[in-house]
Amino acid sequence: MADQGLSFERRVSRRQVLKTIGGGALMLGSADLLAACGGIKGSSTTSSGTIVIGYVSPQTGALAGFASGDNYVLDQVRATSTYKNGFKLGSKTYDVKIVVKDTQSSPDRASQVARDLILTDKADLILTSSTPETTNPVADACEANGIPCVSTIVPWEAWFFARGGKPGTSFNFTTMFFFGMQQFGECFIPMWDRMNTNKVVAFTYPNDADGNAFRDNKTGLEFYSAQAGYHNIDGGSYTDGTQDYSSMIANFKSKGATLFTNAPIPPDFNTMWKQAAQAGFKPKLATVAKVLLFPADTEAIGDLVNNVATDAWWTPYHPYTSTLTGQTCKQFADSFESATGKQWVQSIGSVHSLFEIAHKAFTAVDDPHNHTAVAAQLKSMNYTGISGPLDFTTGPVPGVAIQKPVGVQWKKGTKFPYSMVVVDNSANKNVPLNGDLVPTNP
Amino acid sequence: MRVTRSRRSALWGIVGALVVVVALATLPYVVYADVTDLLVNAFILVVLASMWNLLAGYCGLISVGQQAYVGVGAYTVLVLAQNGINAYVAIPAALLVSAAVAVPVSFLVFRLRAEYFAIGTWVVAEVFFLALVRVRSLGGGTGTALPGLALIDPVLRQAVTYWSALAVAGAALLATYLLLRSRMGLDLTAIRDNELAARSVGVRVTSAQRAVYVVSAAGCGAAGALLIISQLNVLASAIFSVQWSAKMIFIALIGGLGSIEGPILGTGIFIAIQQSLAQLGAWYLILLGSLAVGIAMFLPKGIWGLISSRLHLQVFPVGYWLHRQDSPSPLAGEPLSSGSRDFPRGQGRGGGS
Repeated sequence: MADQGLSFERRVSRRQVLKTIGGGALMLGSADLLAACGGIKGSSTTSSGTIVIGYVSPQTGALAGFASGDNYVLDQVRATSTYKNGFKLGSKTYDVKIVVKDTQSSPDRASQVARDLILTDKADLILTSSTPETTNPVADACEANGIPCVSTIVPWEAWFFARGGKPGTSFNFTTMFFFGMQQFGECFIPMWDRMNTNKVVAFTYPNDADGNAFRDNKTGLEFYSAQAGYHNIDGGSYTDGTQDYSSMIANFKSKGATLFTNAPIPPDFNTMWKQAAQAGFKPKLATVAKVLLFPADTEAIGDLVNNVATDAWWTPYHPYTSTLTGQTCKQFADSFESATGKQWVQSIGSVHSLFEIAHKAFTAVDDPHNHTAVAAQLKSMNYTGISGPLDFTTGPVPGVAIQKPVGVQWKKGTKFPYSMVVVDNSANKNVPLNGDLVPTNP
Repeated sequence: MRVTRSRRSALWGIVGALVVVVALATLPYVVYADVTDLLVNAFILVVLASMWNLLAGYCGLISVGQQAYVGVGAYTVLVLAQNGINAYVAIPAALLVSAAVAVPVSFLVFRLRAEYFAIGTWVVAEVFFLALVRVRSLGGGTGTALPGLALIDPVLRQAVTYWSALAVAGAALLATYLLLRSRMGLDLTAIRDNELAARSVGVRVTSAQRAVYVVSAAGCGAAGALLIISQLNVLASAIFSVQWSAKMIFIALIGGLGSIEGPILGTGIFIAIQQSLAQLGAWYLILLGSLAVGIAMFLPKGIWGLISSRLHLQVFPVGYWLHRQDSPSPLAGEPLSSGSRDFPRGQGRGGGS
């Protein structure tokens, strides 16, 4: 399988390639022509006084909910004195330009805009967020072109293994922070434990990068669940966009499942959860992943969302402060709500942290256009910001920083129809509880 | 009366095409990789739109399932690369495998007509997708990276990718051109104008359509191979996405259906819009949709149809021109003036039927 970009070896120089690869010679017909390749122009090099940061997220399409808070965060970051006045590296100050690209929720477009940022905008660093369909093509383009990249809001297994990563290795230019299956387990299983059930869990995972990461019986949530003594009923590897879940639901009912968990794309949960309600499948507790992360998802489902539990890696209740603005999580969420008139979304914390990291990495190097040096800073990053402590050196693989999510439930709110309430902090005791864990279906 | 292929010497056309190809081939030495990367995307789209145009514009076969062969091409490259074969060398293999797959599929989908054919081809593409996501070694639904290319120096890889894309686009256009100038081209024009009439005068409709279907699949397979090479990864849901059909249809429609030049022009327009307006988010998509509707309603022959009917311009002459004997010279300027009349005949412009 792929060993793409995973080697610890020095990147092979053009000259070496020209001299050695026979396949290339065969392909191009003659060695003379290959020797002439010395004149190929690559991407133009920049030594300008501007640092270019690319940001890629799904602002339109099926995944647009993930990026719903992006505009506010970007405006706020651009307005901070750090970004407005430029980064000070030693005695020199560099202007900072942030170039934003939309993937239209398409992996092909994500790859294309990443290459655009690298080749046309001469990005010195690319930040990307939300789902493997966004982050993986972007990170692959960065790794292949030697451009530093930080990803977030993607389970690390779906980011690392799906890109051809192997245990014991790491990528050279691409890093990420979020969490993985073990943390999902640490977040969900304590809530299941508190429910006093028959320990039969219904699993519904699609056949996509996220779903397959959850399903893996050695590294996935299925493994951690079985280890904790739960009996897993796997609904089968369905395709994203499936419209009929009745046989899956019937299977869960007949096996007596009392707990429910999944990792679907948001529209699919909408369909599945409504069909489950119609079929009378009423698990005592539903802990969902990848959906109901944002208020927009809850509006689509209506009252069926009441007391459905999910994971939260960032809330206004987290006791952390921004390294850029000095705001606490609460102040940040309040300023978001007052500026946009919309309910806070947890992605704003992660996106804000991407720009905290960018600032830290660039101000720790001498030359911001030295991509290897910036990438080295990213891989050795260890700091505490609005997402809490992020340590890229001690993760499951180098270059991956792990967050600790807390268990939350959607409950009827006062200011907005439904609000996210922290009901279980087993995985991160720093976050205070502000509600009780209540069965989804009593 | 005299009949010629074009109003100019065909030799000039060949010389012109060669000059363009040679000029494009030297680009990696002249411009930076941002331009060549954009052109790789453009070449892929030109190939896809040309292949769709061949089906719809000349054969009256409206397919929304050509992404099946985009996927087959991409996965052929992946399988070969996983077995240690250079991905660039695998491009011709992707072309052949796609063509080979298309032969049995054609027997299946050709049992359907018109709208049923369109939906049938889409179903075939979905079946290919559903089958491939079950194969764990090819990344399943998770997707996987294309091995072997990431360690090559980015500058060299970018250039070779560009040359490969140029070669595929050139070959696709040349194949289309030669096909349409052949005897089969005449058959296809007859089928496009009236299938029943063509059948009644002895045109072997089904075999001509099958040949075009297979050529179109081969072209889409080569485009799929270029896609995986330029992106270095493949995700089944993306490569088998019906979005590819939407792009092919859009480009062929705005450029001009039933002409070789149309998809090239359409690609240029599409890329220009994408580069300048994609940041508008949802408005960009609304704009693309409105443009397609507007062109379909008011310019059914597309923008190239407008240009060529006004200027009597042809880059790839595949039709026949009738010259009246009283014409002083076949190279004379405007038709319908000074007694010189050139009638375009069957040059393959203008909608499905």
